[in-house]
This record gives sequence, C-alpha cells and structure tokens, in this order.
Amino acid sequence: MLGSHAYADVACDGLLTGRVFSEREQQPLTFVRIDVSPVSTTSTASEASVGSDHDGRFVVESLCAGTYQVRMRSPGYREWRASQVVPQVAPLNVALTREHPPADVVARPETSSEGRDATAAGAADVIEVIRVESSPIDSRSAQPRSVETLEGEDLQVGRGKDLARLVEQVNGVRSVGAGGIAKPVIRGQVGNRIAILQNGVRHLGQSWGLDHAPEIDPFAADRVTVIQGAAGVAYGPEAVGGVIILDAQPPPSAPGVRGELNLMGATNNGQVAGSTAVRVRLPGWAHRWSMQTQVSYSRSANQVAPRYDIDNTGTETMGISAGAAYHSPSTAIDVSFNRYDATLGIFTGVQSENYDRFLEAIERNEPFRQENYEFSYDIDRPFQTVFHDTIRTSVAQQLTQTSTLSFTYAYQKDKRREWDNVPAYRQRFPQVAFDLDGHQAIVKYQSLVGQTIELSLGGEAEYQDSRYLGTTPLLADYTSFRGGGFGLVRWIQSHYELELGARLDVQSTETSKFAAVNPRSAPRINESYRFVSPTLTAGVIVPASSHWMIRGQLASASRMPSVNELTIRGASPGRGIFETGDPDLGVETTYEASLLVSGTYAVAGINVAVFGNIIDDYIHLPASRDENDQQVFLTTIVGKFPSFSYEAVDASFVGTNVELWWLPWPWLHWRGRASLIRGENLSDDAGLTLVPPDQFENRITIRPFKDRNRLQFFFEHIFTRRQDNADIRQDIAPAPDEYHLFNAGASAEFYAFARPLAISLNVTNIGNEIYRDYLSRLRYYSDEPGIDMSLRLEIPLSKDF
Amino acid sequence: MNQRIRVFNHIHPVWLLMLGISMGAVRCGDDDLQDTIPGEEPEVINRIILTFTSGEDETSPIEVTWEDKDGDGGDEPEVDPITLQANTTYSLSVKIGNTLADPDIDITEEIEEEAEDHLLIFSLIDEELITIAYDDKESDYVPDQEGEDYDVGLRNVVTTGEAGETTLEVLLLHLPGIKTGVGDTDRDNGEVDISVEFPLTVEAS
Repeated sequence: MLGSHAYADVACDGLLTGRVFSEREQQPLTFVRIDVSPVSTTSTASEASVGSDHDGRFVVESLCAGTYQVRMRSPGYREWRASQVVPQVAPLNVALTREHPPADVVARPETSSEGRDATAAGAADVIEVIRVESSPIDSRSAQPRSVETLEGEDLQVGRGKDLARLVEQVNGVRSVGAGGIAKPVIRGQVGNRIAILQNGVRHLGQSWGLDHAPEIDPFAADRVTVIQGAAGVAYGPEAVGGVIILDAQPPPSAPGVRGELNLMGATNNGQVAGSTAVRVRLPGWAHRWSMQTQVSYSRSANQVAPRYDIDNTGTETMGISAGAAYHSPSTAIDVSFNRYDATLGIFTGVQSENYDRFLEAIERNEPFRQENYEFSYDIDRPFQTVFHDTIRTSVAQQLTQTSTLSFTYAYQKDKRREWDNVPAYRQRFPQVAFDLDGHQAIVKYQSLVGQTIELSLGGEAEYQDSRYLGTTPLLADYTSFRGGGFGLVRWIQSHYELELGARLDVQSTETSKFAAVNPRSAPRINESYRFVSPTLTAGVIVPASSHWMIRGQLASASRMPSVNELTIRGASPGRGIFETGDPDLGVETTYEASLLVSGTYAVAGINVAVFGNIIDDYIHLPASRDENDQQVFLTTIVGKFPSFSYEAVDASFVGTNVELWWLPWPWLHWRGRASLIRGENLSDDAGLTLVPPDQFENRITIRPFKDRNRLQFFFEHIFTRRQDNADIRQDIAPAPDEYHLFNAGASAEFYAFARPLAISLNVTNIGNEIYRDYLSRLRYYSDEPGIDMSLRLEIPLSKDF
Repeated sequence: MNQRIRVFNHIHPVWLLMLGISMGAVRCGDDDLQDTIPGEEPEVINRIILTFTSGEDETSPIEVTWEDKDGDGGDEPEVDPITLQANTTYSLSVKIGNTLADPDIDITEEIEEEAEDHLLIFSLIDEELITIAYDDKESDYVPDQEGEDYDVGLRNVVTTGEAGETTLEVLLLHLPGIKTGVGDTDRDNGEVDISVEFPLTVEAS
C-alpha cells in the first residue's frame, strides 16, 4: 500500500490521542504501553512508544500524516492492535480485555473475526480499522451512567435471538412480549421511552404497541451497547429510559476480504438461522474504498411449552445490509442500506374477542383448543408482516487536529401489516396497516479544547409521515417535524471528570383521524400539537482509587407524548381491553438521580447501580373508573370490553442492579446478579403495571484447561420473584407465581480448515419447568416455552489481496 | 484547506451515485397503502336485526335492531327491546349488516355462503321464558361438504311460555373447519364475530 502523495507536503506534527479502559469495569488503565509504527505514511516516519497516564490517557506527538499500526499492551490484558489514521478523526478510546478470568468476560475471543484471523495466521499486519463513531458520544468512553457493551462471545451466544432477548444478557434489562415478538425493557421503561440507534441513526418504527417488536435484524450488528437511565442529551427525547446502540462491523483496514458465517439451530422451536457477512477493502489505488454486505435468514416453528405447543408462534425473518465507505486521512464518507423483513406469528390461544372470553381463558389455565395444536413451521392468521428499510449516509471531516464535523442523513421506511383471524370472506387483506416514512438529518461538531475539555455540539432535524388504514379508526395519521439542538461538555481533571449536557427539542405534530369506523365515508378530525422538550444532565466520574470508580448523574429529561397515546381508540389485540387516547396529554418529565460504584480487585469485583426517578405527568394506561370507582365497560358488537384510558400521573421508579464476581481459582468464575425495581403511581398511591419483577442470577463458569481451545462450561440459575407490587385493579389477572430456571452451556474454539471456529451449545430451562412470566403477554393464556437446546457456529472468512 | 476541498470535489458525484442506488433499492420494496386494504371490503359488523313473525299475524312482524352507529367505542350502541306474547310460536330470522359502509353491506349473504363455518347460538340470561330451536341446516344455503349437515341459526322457531322479563344473548361464532354442531364445544372453540344482548319481555296475552 503506497502513501497518498497528495499529502506529501504535510508537516509531521500530527497527534494521536486517546484513552484506555478495562473493558469490563470501564476503569481507566494506567501504564499501558502504546506502540505506534507506520504502515503507510507520507514520509519517513519513526516508531513511537508512550505509556498511558493515571487517567488512561495518552498522547503520541510528531506523527506524519498516514496510517499507523497501534499496539497496546498491559500485564494481565490481552494485546490490542488496530490501524489508525493520522490526523485522527476522533480520539482513540480502547477497552482492553483481561488475559485470564473473569472467565465469562475473558473467554470472549478478540472482538472481531479479524482479530481471530490475526491469531490464526500469526500475521502482525492484519489490522483493524478504527470505527468512526456516528453516535454523538463514543459509546466506549467512560460515561457517568451505566453502559454495557455486548460483542464477541456475548453476541455469538445470542445469535439468532431477536433484539429484545439478545440484550436481556445485560443486568437490569428485560423484555416484554409473547412468542416470537418481544421488546426491550430497561429499568422498567419500554417502547417510546427507549431509543434504539442503528449505525448512529435513531430507529423509527411502530414502537408504541406492546406487540410491536423493534424492526431490526441483530445479525447486522457486531456490537450492541446498552445505556441504562436518562441519556436524552445525546440521543434525543426518546432516551428517557435508556438507549440501545447497534453498530455494524467496520471494514478491514488492509486490502483484502474479511467476513464470517454464523449458523445456529435450536430444538424448542426448530429454529434455523444463518448469517453471512463479507467486507472488502480494495487494493492498490482504490485502497481508500471499502464495501460490505451482509445477509441473514431465520425461520422458526412455534415454541413448545412443557405440556403443549404454543400454537402459531413461528417466525420468518430476513435481513440484508450493504454499504460502501471512503476513508481519507481527514475525511470519512459512507453510505449504507439495511432491510429487515419479517413475518411473525401470533399465538392463536389469545382468546379475547371480548372480556367474558378473556376471563374464561384466564380461568382455564391452559389455552383453548390446545389439544389441537401441532408443531408447525406454518404461520397462520393472526400474524404480522413487518418491513423496514434504512438508508444512511454520513460525512465526517477533520477540521483541525482536535476537531471534527460530521453530517448524517437517514431515510427510513417502515411498513406493518396485521392479519387477524377473520372470516374467510375478509381474509384477502390485512385488517390493520401502518406506513411510516422518516427523514433525519444530524450535524455534529466535536472538539478537544486544550487537553482537558471535550466539547460536542449537535443539531438534529426529523420529519415523520405516518399513515394508518384499518377496519376501525384505531390510530390517527400524522406528520410531525422535530428540531433539536444539544451541547455536551466534559471537563477531564486528574481526580474527577465532569459532564454537563443540555438539549432542547421542539416538535410540531399534525394528526388526522376518521371520526367514525368506516375510513372511506366518515369525516376527518384534524388536530395540531406543539411540544417542547428540554433535557439537562450533570454527571461526574470519580476514580476513587485504582480499584474503585464512582459515577453519578443528575438528570431532568422530558419526552413528548406519542401519537398513539394521544389518539388511539380501539380494542387492543390479545388483551381483551379497549384503549382510548387522551389528546390533552403533555410532555412528561423525568428527574433522575443515579449512582454507580464499581470495585475491581485481582480476583473479585462488584458493580452496584442505584437509581431513582420521579416522573411528572408519566403517561400510562390504567383501567377507566367512573365516579363511583367502578370499572367502566364498553359495549361493542363482539361483546363488552373493560375500558383503559391513557392518563398522566406522577410516578416514581426506584431500583438497583448489583453484580458481584469472584475468581477463587483461575479455572472457576462465579457471578451473582440481582435486579430490583419498584414503580409507584404517586397520584393514586398504587403500584404501576408492567414493572419487571425482582430477579436473581447465579452463574458459575469453569475453564478446565488453560488456553486449550478456550473450552468452558457454565451453569446458571435464575430466580424470578412474583410481582406483588402491581396494582391488580389496573390489570386483569393476578401476577404469576415465582419461578426458578436452570440453564447451562459449553463453548469452545477449535481449528478446522485452517480457521478458528467458535462453537457454543446452550441449554435453557433444563428442568422443563412449567412457569408463566409476569412480563410475557402469553401469561394470561399459556405457559412459557420448555427446554431448549441451541447450537451456534461461527466461521471466519478472510483473504488478503 | 485545499486538500479538503479537493476531497469533496472528487467525492460528491460518487457519493450521490451511491445514495441514488440505495434509494432505488428502497423504491423497489414499495407498495401503496391504499392498495393494501380496499375500501369495498365488508370488514365490519355493526348491526343485527331479529325479526319475529307469529303464525297468527304474519303481516306485522316484530323487528328489533342492535346497532352501533359510530362503530366500536364512542357512543353506546342502540338496542331495541324485544316484546313477545306469552304462549305463542314465532319464526325468528336474523339479518346482519354493516351500515358504516356506504352503501350498507348485507353480511347475512356472506354468512350463508360460509354456513359450514358459522353458528349462531341463542341463550337466555336469567329466566328461561322462551325456547329457541334451529330451523335451518347448512344445506339450505350451500352444498354440504364438511362434517355433517349442522344447524346454522339464521332461521329459528321460538316458543314462548309464561310472562316475565329476561335477557336474550345472541352469539355468532366463526368456526373455520372446526364446527362440531355441539353447542358447548363450538362455543368454546369459535371466534366470536357477534356477542350482543337484547332485553326481552314476554307479555301475558
């Protein structure tokens, strides 16, 4: 690879700056040796070595423009290698992985198949290109809030799962759903209170319905980051509860082809899934260009509970992504395309055409017609078809040695069709259809002021156009325009780090809705809404000693009501209730205080997060009551429904997530976790619904042989308590009982066809336990799935030009 | 500075081309929302009419209507009370429709065409003041293909007894391929297309 002569006259005064952390604890690492050697530069350049300071920071000076290989080494940590372009587009933030234990942490191989290739071939010149972060904040740098990243083996063991079930690996994160449809819950918040970003762009989908899963293919990501708590400054008003960030694999830095093939199969629902990705960096004069493509497919039959099949819960999903990128020393440009296409079966035992049927279903303790259920890959009515396209392009330009300007534009198209179980004469078409088009533009400026202040400024504009068509006036059509701006400043001092952020979003929404049932002949009702949503955060990071780190945040974040909360009117599928929106709802405001304490010693560690939220005008969906406090029922042609109406109350959420680990011997690792949360309706002095029940986990990982094939086994016990704090008057059936689940697995890496293959076998619900879960929509009708065995294989592909 | 301008000059056309190709890919997956659910579909049921005709007075049948003029939610449905004479035999016919469409759609015909997949069930809440017997079979509407020739319930015979007040419940069940003709089983297994109640008075004659 030859240097680019266009830059030959550039003076050799480039800087390489960054920060090193321990991956697990997110603690800065001191005395990490950083070696920089030229790969291609504009002139004869020398090698350089520096050490990181007490805060994990480093600066390498007097570098000529060009590409360098950077190596980081520290006793007890795995060596890290990547290529880096000077001048830098962004500071280099690196998380080092421990060499030995904690077994489940470390046993993850290098975080990418590139890394594995390098080991295989022993080739030192196989290098990894630094990701150009499109998120406002590099998700790997320390934040004053809880951040956990799933990659490498953590992702590998979750391949084939949907997004919500994948991120459940993170302590404090749960999912609500039924069968093959699930959505993530972070600290008790779900749907419109969780922002999902894919490749730096906020996902726009039908996030409002409890039976609407995020329209995202997790196979397209090789890193999934979960931020818990208010993070609205950087990620927008939807991030009041938390953020899930998916990032695609970066292209190879050296000319060549990299890729991998992922295969998985599971016994419970007969799932078969595969994904393959190919990334190419062109040789010779075109070496600044890279391209990538990825395709995934998954098919599953219905899930199987210990006593019966959970009829019609099969899924079929397909994902495609493709992209091209251009990187010059000072400019990064890329375009990417993602498609997700899914057919999701809905459990047929959801017998809730009206309230009486619903009560009958609950009393039965087993689904209607369960004796007729058969294991099948067929997906019959009712089902959903979901289709989501995203095109994204971004340009990042280095302005000076310490500042970067970037622009991102994205277009998203989301189509959802719901096919109900209706008489045959109505079966030619779906019963409900939603179309959403969204355009987003994001401008961002990041700069290092002096050596101690990091500054991010940004502006966002978003336009949404949503149309609804169905047999009832369930939801309004709408167009909305939102504009927002934010600023985030970090002071990095030797004994602490401060972060202050502010953001303001203004949204204008026009809704249009049919006044009566028939969409073709009824008059329309049009409404306009204006919302202003301010967010303020203040955070601090204090490395109290080399073993302890304290992080705290105070935040006031607000969220605008969504169009369903304002305008919905209709029977909610699968729940036997009639929902009514409230057009007078306003912005809800969260006041949050959170504290995170992490301690790490050689053989043990602890992570404790404590958080409290007071939410003014928290929008929820309780059962309607009349002036005599009696439940209100609505009469329809198919019977009576209890009426549920959106309403704003004052609420509080208080909770803690605790994780402990201990490594008594090098071959044994124990991890214990607890996740507790309480949600209260302060206005009515009652418990809120859909708050996750307390959960406790114990996991033991054993690595019987040092360094041999990374073979390891794990055993896990999860205890979920009964949710006793929910207000039964807001629900229709009492919470299910507590339950214990036992899981186990084994994973290893071995060489075949001169490649390191990663293989893992997982068994969940070993005891084939019959249980129901409070957060599952199945709980009114059916048990949860029984024993499942899944096998996963990852095969890296590589070829150098 | 110059370098940056150079870069942009070279990149812009290529970048636009890449963007254009991606846009084209999205367009390929496009279809129109309005084509998804055509308007003429008789999607909704919002009216049921019961017509009672007594043998003694065939010229003035008693017609009662249950209708939800603005569809689910909103205003409560309008329900006519039923008043029958004691110790009398009536024929009872059922009409089902969608008056939210323009023009109205008669869904009775659709149910006749799918008589093998549908069953009406009449039951009395509170007092058993009347008896209702089916007076039609699937073969009255369509050639019998599935199962036996079961009852349908669009035509019935009603016999009243003593005077009193009660409530009549009318269920229309959708039983695609699973109709058994056994009321309790079908009631458990069927999808409910209609579940309405009428106040019923039997007057002493």
